[in-house]
Amino acid sequence: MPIFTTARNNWPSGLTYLLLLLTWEGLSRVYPPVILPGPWESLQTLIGLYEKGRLMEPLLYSFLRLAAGFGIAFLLGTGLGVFAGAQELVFKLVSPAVSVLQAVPPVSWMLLAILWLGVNGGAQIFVVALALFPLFFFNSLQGVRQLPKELLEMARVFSVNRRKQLVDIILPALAPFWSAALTVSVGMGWKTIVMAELISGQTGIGASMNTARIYLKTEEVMAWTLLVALLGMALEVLVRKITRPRERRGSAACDLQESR
Amino acid sequence: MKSIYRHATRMFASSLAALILLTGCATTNTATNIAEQPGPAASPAAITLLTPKAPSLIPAVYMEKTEADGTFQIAKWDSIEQLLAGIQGNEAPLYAAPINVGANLYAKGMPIQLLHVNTYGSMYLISLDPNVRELSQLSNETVYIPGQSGPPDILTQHLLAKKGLQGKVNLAYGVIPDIMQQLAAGTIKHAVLPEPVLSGFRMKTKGKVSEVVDFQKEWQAEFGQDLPQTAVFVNRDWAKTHAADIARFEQSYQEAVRQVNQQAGETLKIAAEEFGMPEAVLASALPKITLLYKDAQTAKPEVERYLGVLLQIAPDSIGGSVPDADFYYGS
Amino acid sequence: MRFTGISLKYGAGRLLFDNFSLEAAKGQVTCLMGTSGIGKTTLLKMAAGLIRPAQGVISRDEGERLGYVFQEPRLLPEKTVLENVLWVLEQRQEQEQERVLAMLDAADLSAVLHAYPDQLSGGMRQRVSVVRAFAARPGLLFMDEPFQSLDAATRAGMHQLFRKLWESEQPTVLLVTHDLDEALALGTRIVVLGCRPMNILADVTAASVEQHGGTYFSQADQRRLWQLTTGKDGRETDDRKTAAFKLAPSGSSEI
Repeated sequence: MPIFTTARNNWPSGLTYLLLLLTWEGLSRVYPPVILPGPWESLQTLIGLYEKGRLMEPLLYSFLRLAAGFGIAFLLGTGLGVFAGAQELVFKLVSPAVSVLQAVPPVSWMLLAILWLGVNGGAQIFVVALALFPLFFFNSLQGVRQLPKELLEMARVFSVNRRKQLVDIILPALAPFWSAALTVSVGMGWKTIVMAELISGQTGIGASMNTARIYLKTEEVMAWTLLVALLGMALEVLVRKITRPRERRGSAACDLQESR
Repeated sequence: MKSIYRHATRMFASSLAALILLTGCATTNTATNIAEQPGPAASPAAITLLTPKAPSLIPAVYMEKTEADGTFQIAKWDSIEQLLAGIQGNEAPLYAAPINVGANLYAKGMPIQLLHVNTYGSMYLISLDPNVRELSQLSNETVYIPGQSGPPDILTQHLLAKKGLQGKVNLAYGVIPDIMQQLAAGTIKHAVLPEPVLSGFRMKTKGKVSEVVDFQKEWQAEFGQDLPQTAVFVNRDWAKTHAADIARFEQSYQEAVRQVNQQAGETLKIAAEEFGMPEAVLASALPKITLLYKDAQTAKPEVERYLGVLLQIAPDSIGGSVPDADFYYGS
Repeated sequence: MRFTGISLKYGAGRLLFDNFSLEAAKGQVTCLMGTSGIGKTTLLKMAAGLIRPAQGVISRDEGERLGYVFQEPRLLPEKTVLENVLWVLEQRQEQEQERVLAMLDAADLSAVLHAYPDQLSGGMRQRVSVVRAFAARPGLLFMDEPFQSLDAATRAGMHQLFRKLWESEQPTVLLVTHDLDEALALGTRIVVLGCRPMNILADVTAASVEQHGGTYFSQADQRRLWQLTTGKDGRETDDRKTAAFKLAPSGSSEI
């Protein structure tokens, strides 16, 4: 019975993927390949890109840009977020600016970044950093605001040193907020990078997609899309796995009795 | 509870299947409708030309003005996806497009044929440095090109290779508005730009633009032929049953080109509005634009030469091969 | 440990302390009693340096280690019982670990050394919190109603544990409690506090302190304290008799 239940629980999402694939396949049979290439054709194109050596270089470029933008956003966002969480004045000064930053759509940043940094500048990195910065900022802010004050008070009374307070109280308390920010932002950053490259880049996945579209190679556009989507999902799962606090015990331990 | 769930799933699956069938049928239906448009209904129905905001639009504007009411109309496309959707959805039987795009669509199995070529050259490599007169003076300089892998890019590469400057001149890419803005700001100095947008820039800088390369002239010097750029294509299925309509359109368009070249007048004002630029700018651009009507069979050798050059440098830009004779209407 | 001329306002100008002074003698267990909301917790927090008074001086011995048993256990959720206790120690030598293990054993926590706080009952968590405070070897220990949430049996056990631990370390203790029985059982001195602003209603020192931490307060003191903490209007004889009867078992158990 439990096995049956598990199978039933996992079944619907598998079914959804299958239905999506079938819908895609069905529609691709109705339309010419230049309008909608089928899943099999897209996959073959992807493998073809790899075999022709045209896959890894754009992938690497996009990844490096994501890493750079992500790193900048994380350092600045958490730094300022923690600072603003600790100092009310900093919060009052910085937070409206970050809100405005957050309201500006990435596309606008893209166009402006090209003007400011030139076509060859780090426009894409700039855009990703700006898009992700508010996320890290607000999550760190929230995390600091919700630090367990009672535990910190306890640590102070017992004169526990700063390092131990940081490692055992502050970081564990901030971790869930960072985990949330990282998970959301890695997916968002990945898509933003590709979009930024599409608009302005000469290298990376977005640029390759743009070339494919200009040449009407829709099957390549689809192949890249497939790759970006799959990698995006994989990145999110990976980040969630890495940042989630480890499961430390089973549920059986819960019925420990008071020993008297 | 369980049965509701199962019921809902079945409903969803069946409606999905119905949807697929419907869209499928709908597409085929419209296709046959247009292809088999019967005679009596055809003559009053308007013929639509789907055109980009390129020089080919100017004669079209003239036609829309002079043709009998409701027999000819213009629709515009900006991105290649819009053109594709227009062809797929049978929004118009006629499409103006860069020749390489047409060849590419043809190679991808889209049902189109080249009717005529109407725009030649009209593309320039310019510099803000008045001393630059020759391509060779641009060694170690960066030239900005609108659109990587498009004809401006390929033709520039062809020219550099011919002059032995390959790898000596740097090429960078952007979109036209960005390139114009950066030229105006002085952050970049050299660029390849098409007309009529180039004239807008010429006016702004009051003639301080040095014209380094006129691609039409270079092409003529090399091959003794004109450099074909934009053509009008026709939906092949539609063409089979509308020979008379096509003949009338061809004649009108040819006449429109002649009129625009002689005395644009009122047409210029409407066209300028369509381009979103002052009439004076478009008027000053006109002498720099080579509007020339050549029907498919006449233009065929030039088109084949041009596509042959594209094939050498970027085969993907024309779909991998020079199209066969069936590509040209009237063969 | 001494409070001198402490003043502190709370929020909308309510005066909690106005020139309040109190001294806790070294090595004594000073029990602080009084109705809730009069600032006993605030007083402890000021003593521990967690809250600063608006005026006045709080003096402690230089470099004296502090311990604190809060009203709630305040344990690190991601650490085990043993880790929680060791966490407040400066160094974790083998000896220290043995000492801590012995204390945990005395508190009947040996079975759950490697359990996490959310796996324990409220009473067990509070016991861990008490052991932690003693394990830190504080010269000055603050306890804010530490046994309030425990059932009677556990509380009695905790009183024994407290006396055992106090006997071996002899820290100065400030203990806030509502329970006169507890104060009589554990305190060497009982201070009953009044409110708005805080003042001292009664200050009674044990007539004798037995070995093993047992204390004895004179019958007259006990009666007075009982009046003060259960009702100020002076109860009828019946009530007093009941009070004396109630006191008797706890008194005899200590001797």
